[in-house]
Amino acid sequence: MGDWMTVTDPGLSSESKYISQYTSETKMSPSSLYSQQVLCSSIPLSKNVHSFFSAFCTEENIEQSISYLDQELTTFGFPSLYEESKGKETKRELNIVAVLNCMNELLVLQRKNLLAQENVETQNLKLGSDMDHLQNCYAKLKEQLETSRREMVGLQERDRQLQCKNRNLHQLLKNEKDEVQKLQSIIASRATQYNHDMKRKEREYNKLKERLHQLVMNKKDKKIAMEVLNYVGRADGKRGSWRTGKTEARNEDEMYKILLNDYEYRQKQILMENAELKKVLQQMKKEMISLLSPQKQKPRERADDSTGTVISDIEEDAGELSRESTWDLSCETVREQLTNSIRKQWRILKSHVEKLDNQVSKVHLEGFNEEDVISRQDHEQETEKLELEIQQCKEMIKTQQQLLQQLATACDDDTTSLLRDCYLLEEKERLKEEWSLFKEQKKNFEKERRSFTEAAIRLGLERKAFEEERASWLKQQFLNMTTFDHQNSENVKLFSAFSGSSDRDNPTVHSRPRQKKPHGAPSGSPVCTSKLTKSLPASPSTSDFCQTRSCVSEHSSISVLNTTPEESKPNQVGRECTNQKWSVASRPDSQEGCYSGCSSAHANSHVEKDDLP
Amino acid sequence: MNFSEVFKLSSLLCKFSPDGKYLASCVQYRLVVRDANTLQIHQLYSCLDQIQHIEWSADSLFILCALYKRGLVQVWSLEQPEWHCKIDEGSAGLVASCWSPDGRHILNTTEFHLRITVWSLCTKSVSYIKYPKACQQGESLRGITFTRDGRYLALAERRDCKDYVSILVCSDWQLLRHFDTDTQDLAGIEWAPNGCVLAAWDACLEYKILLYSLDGRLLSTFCAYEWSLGIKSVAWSPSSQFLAVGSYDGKVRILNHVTWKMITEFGHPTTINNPKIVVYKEAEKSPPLVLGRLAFPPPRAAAGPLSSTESKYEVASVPVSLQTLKPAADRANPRIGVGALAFSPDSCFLATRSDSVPTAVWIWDIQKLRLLAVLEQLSAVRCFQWDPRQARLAICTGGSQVYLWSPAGCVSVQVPGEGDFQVLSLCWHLSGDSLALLSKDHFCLCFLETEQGVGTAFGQRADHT
Repeated sequence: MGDWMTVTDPGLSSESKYISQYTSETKMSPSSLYSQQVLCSSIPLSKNVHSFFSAFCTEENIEQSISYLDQELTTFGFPSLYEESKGKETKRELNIVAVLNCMNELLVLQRKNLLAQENVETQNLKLGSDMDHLQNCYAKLKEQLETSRREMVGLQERDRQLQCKNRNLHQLLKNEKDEVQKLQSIIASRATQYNHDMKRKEREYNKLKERLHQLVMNKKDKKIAMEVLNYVGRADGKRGSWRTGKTEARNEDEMYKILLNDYEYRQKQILMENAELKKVLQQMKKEMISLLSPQKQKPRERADDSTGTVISDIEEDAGELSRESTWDLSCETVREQLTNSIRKQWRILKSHVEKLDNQVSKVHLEGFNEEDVISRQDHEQETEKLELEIQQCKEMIKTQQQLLQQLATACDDDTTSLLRDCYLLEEKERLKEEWSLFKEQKKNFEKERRSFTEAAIRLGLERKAFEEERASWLKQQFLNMTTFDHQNSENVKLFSAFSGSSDRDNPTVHSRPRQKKPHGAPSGSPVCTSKLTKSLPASPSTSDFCQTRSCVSEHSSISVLNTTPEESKPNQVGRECTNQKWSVASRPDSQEGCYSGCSSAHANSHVEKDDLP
Repeated sequence: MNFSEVFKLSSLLCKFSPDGKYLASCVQYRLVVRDANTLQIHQLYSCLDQIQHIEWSADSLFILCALYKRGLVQVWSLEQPEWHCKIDEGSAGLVASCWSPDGRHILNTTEFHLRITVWSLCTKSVSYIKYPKACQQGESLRGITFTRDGRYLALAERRDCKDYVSILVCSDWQLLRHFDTDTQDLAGIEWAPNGCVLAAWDACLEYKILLYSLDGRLLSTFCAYEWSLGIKSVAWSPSSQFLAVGSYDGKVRILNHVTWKMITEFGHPTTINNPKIVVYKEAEKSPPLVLGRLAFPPPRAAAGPLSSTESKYEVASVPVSLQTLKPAADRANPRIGVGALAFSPDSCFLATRSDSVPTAVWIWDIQKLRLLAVLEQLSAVRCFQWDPRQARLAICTGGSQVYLWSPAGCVSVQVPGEGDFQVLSLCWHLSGDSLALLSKDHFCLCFLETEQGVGTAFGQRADHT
């Protein structure tokens, strides 16, 4: 037995150990049957050490055991358990130190192995779980594969079916196309046949008609007749004319005349339309030029090349304009020039507007960036201020209106109508200016009035003196001369007196036109004057003015009185005229409004009526 | 708006004389000429049989009465009541009769369109025109057209299966031009009001309209589409500036007189969405429940419940969908397409009727080239006619109302009278002051106030019972 052990163990045990180690790692492998056996042999070696040892070493086989162990250990590379023998025959002694060393080493080894085994086992466990997981995955993937394979098969089947269907449809389409073709050809043939038939029928019909015609007409149908009591004259009173070549020619002539007239009429209309359009174009051009020319200076200062040339063009065009306006005839060159220049100007205008837009947007941006709030505040304040002002102005106007209405009863109709006409606030500014002017003139008036009154007094005195003189003189004359002579002399005297007075009146005459001016001239239109009188800031002053006028008329002498109506009348007439003009000009607007109002009212009323029960 | 009393009438034969002085109407075989203002009988003539057609001569001196059944035409003079003339077409028969513009010749078309006989009242002469084309649509002859000045006659002819147009001088019936038209089957010809352009159009199988100058030159052809039913109606604007062509596709195409190209196309949509378009919808007016009215003449309304109910217009709010008629596709002459067209006398408006929407009248603004208003009636529109003086359209639908449209609005007026007066047709007096309303066997005159007529008419609208 010991021999067997010695013989078999070294290789086998080491092998089995390796194997057992391996098998412990691969517990789950299917080839674990053999290793189980080996385990049986090896596990007792490792775990049931004591029992084994007890069995291994007994009292009687110590020597053998030792020698066996020695052998074993030497084969494993351990130092021998025996001391170095001196002689070959002498029995070798057991070296305790070596044994202990060996034991220690073995224990260390054992511990190391245990550790390694533990490691290996945990690894084994990990790997086992990994394996499980992988196997699960594998199974799942296999399932997936299966399903997708099934799906693929299904899809393939569907594809096949669809293709089949498609093929069928194609076939059907082809059939339909064929059908259509066939039907079309049938239709065409039918149409031709129909036409042919129709023609045939019509020919037959014509033949029949002809035959009928012959039958009906040639039979000397006595019934076909006209019974007339007596023939009536032609509508134009003329007699019928013979048919000759001349009449034919005349007919042709007339026809062409009619056609010609029509064409002429149409040409005239077209010409008119053209003229209108040209006028519009010209107008447009003019307006564009006038619109674009104010900005001429600026670009020139900038010495911008492009605009500079453009502006020179504008100037040219402006020069041409007068020339072109005389060319009313339709002419290629004129037309081209006109359209070209308009196009050019349109481009300029467009670029200008775009520039302005850019500027505006820039300004906006800047404004928003810097002083948005402030500007807005300013703006609001300004508007508030303006609104307040407007309110004040309105009130003022209202009071003035009332006053003027009161005055209007005294004034003549023309002035009242004038006064009623104007409430425009925009003109207030201008009116203020005029008011100051007016004040000045009032002063002048007053001065003049004073001079007038003085002159009148003087004149009165003179007259008195003259009258006295004349009376005395007359007395004298009466005594001396005939009545005829007396009259003559009186005339002469009167004349001279007049001329004398007129001389003195000269300043008044001169001043009159000046006086007249404020009525008509400064404002340019009576509308404004009336406004002026209306929007006078304080009512007393206006009444003052009236008073002054009345004063003048009251206090001034006869000559002055004579002149005032004469001069004021044309003035009034003029005012009237312009006033009328103005009112006419204003009318279209108002009328339009009225019309629109009317029409809308009408429509409304109509609608309402429709809604009536 | 005032109504005259009701007079008897047969075959809807009632016509104002061209000078507006007289009104001729027929009762069976009698021809009654009344004063157009007083309606007193001016003359009374008796024909040999029932009168089937009457026509005034252009100078209002003669009246032609056609008795188609007998192949007879009887002419009466207004100035000389004892004067008479009888034209017998004999066995050739008679299908149409009309005056030449000079009022001294009568053009009779024999049966089967064998020929046209031109009878002169001045001389015994008779002229024949052979091969007239049978393009007659209802009462109106589409194959004969005179220029408005009465100088020329254009005549559609058919020889050897080809269409021709002859232009004749009316004064001596001399042929001026003769040319073939490039048509399959010429359906009608019409002079422009200025008498310089002749429009000729093909039958409904093909959309084709040709424009010829007076001297026979082809000015232009127009074809809007192919392979479908074509032209149904054609109308010139009184200014000769536009030619409106209504077709089976439910559209009106307006051609201009300079290039003869289409200016615009007016479709007739069945739903109106544009809020700018005014849709006047006729609505039945519920009879006012006045006790006094219920009392005596016990419900005459029972006789004709629908026609005797009063109606009014309501402005419908868009979108409005109009009642359409489903056309029978398997029948000839389907009820689709624009069947009636009429320009207002100032050429500013165009009134149309689409046969698939028989209850509606469409009014188009020609200046703005857009739809202006749609009038939806309760029943199918029978006929409409513009006032010869102003933009005012009179419409009748076979009910007891007459409808008036003007740019200011729309009004429905009940025709007063005993029983029902179903207005089947109407015709304006020359002055636009009165309107003759024709029913099956009666007629009455409707006098509209002059000048402010429309306004007052609207004021008084539908107050009659």
